Amino acid sequence: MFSAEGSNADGSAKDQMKEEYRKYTFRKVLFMVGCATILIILFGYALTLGSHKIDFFTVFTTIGNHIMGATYQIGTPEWTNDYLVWEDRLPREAIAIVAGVGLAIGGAAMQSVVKNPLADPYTTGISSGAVLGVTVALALGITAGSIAGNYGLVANAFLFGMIPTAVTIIVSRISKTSPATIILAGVAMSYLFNAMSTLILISSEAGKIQEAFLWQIGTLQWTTWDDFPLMFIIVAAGSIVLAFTSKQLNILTLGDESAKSLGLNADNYRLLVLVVLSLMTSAVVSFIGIIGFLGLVSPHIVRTIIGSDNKYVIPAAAIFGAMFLLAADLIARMVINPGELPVGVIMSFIGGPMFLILILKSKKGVW
Amino acid sequence: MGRDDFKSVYYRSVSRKVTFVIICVIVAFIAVGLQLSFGYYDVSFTESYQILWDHICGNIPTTDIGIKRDHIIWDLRLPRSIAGMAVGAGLGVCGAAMQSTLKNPLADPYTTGISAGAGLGATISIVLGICLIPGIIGQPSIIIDAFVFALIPSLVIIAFSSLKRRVTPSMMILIGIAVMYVFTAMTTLLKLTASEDSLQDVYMWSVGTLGKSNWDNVWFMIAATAFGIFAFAILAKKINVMITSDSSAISLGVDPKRCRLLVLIIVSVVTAFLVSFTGTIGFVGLVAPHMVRLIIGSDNRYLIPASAAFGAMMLICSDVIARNIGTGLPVGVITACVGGPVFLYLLIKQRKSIW
Repeated sequence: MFSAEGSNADGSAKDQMKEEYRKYTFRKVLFMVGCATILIILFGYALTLGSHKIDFFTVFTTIGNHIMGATYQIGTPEWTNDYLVWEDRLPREAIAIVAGVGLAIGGAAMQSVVKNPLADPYTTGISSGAVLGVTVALALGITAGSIAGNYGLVANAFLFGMIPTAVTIIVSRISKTSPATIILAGVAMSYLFNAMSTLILISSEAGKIQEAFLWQIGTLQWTTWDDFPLMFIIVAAGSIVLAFTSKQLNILTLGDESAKSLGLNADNYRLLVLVVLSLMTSAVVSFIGIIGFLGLVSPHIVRTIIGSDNKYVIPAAAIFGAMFLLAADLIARMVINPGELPVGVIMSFIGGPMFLILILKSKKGVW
Repeated sequence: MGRDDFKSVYYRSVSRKVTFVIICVIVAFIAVGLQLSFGYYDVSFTESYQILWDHICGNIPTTDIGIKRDHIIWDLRLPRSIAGMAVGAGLGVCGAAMQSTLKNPLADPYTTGISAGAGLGATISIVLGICLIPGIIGQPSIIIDAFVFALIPSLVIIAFSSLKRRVTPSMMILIGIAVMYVFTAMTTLLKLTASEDSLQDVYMWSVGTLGKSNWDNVWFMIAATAFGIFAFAILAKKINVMITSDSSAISLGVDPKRCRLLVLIIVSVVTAFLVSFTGTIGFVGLVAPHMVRLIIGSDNRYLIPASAAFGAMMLICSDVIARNIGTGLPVGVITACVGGPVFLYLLIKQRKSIW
């Protein structure tokens, strides 16, 4: 009789635990689904905007038809819609989503790897490297493989962006692969590369300075389909790798000793994540310039809402980042018309106060 | 190992640290001489000390040439050297205190948004011509606006800390970051509406320079830095205790939350004074304490004075180089170009973990 009662009690305790766990995951899934829904709505809405209005549902049917391979006779209204949506407006939104995903995941992974809430995808110096690359191309006319024009800039930004990361990794390999060493080596490289850019810019003409300065402020304004494939492939591959290794990322935050006792080679894993996220960030930066705030703050916003389990933070940050960048870009275009504000400014204005409120409301310690 | 052995090991470790500080001070002193002797009007290295010493002793030469030389050294060149030392020492000491109390190697005196606040203040003054104290225009208006706005992010952090029972260092940093981004965004908006000339003024301000120092404003920097060094030297033991963990700090009789806020307030006030006169000079506040850590370790009782000495040395040496290479070269560029590789070298050579 006792035993029966015991097992009963066990059973109810088990059920209760299960119930709690379900609630715990439900909240997280709900957040992701919510963000994804907003993302889709904003995506559709952004495509309707322009000098020629196309209504919300037509946008989606047009995209669907295009993917299915529909062709129209030149000059028909369907053809116009297809051209406007697919060729004119879609690249910008698609790239916003890819860049948002890349930067947010990069930020979440970097913060976990170096165990520092101040870290962002640029912590190892990628942004200053990319700026130097662009400055070298614009002011000195030197490009990797002597590719001329815009692609020279992209190639330079990408390659120079990888240099600080490579040095950081080498330094931390020679010395200790501790998070602090990675961060500090990254800081040293950032300052060094920024100083070199300044040195080059000081001795160049005003027009070049302005060009280099404008490149630094990230914008989605000039994006075309040509920018998409490389960035998409790298970000998609990187996201998949990071999403699949998010459990190891959790273990890493416990400390190197615990990671070792749980069978994870912390040093090697940290380097893998660094290489993957640097490739992702460099790919994004070299096409659209440096967009701040997103990579640093979106993982934090996600953590205040759903906690810091990387299994959920990585996908949630990806969806949230895409939504956030798309929304900010949309607002940036709508505030002043014609013309537009830098998307980073909009993100800071909306995200800053929102983040403050979330910190104030957060009950448990997330950091 | 006997008692005497322990003692001698301890003395050796202390004397190593003291030697480091003394070397920094000597190098800084030599750099001052170099800085005083360089310029359009030639004065030799030893002569510059001679003129300084004469002025301090009160026997200023009465000949025309003597008065001219005294004027050039004492009134025109010395303020810059003193400002360089004060700013370097102030930023170094604030960086060390900030990194230790926030337990974050990425922290620097500007982490809590002071630079963004000062930048917004300066931009408001330059672009809109508004001064918080009505009737003041030009340079003083920039200084006042920069100073007041530099303190706002810290006030926000303090307000938040009083609203929440438990405030971790990370939370304080993140609040500062949120405010920083909003301020930077406002600055960008103002810049978009600004004319070309005021845009250049804003840019020049944000790069940071020691060139604007004179005897009128150098006293503020000296006072702020002296206060900072003095305050943190007293707080060093408490900061050491706080590094262990909040709970052990409490059991050792230190209230971590209050102590952290106190450090934050001191850093804000000192940095706000320095920044509003010189603009945001980067690198020193972040990297000087790390270099000192790599050389003499992380005990705050030594780290804090040593960071002051090392920061002063670093900034003044960079300023000497910057002035010799070319005019208009920001001192921060030289600091980064010389300091960056040295820092990397120290990182590779590090034996113990400093964090």
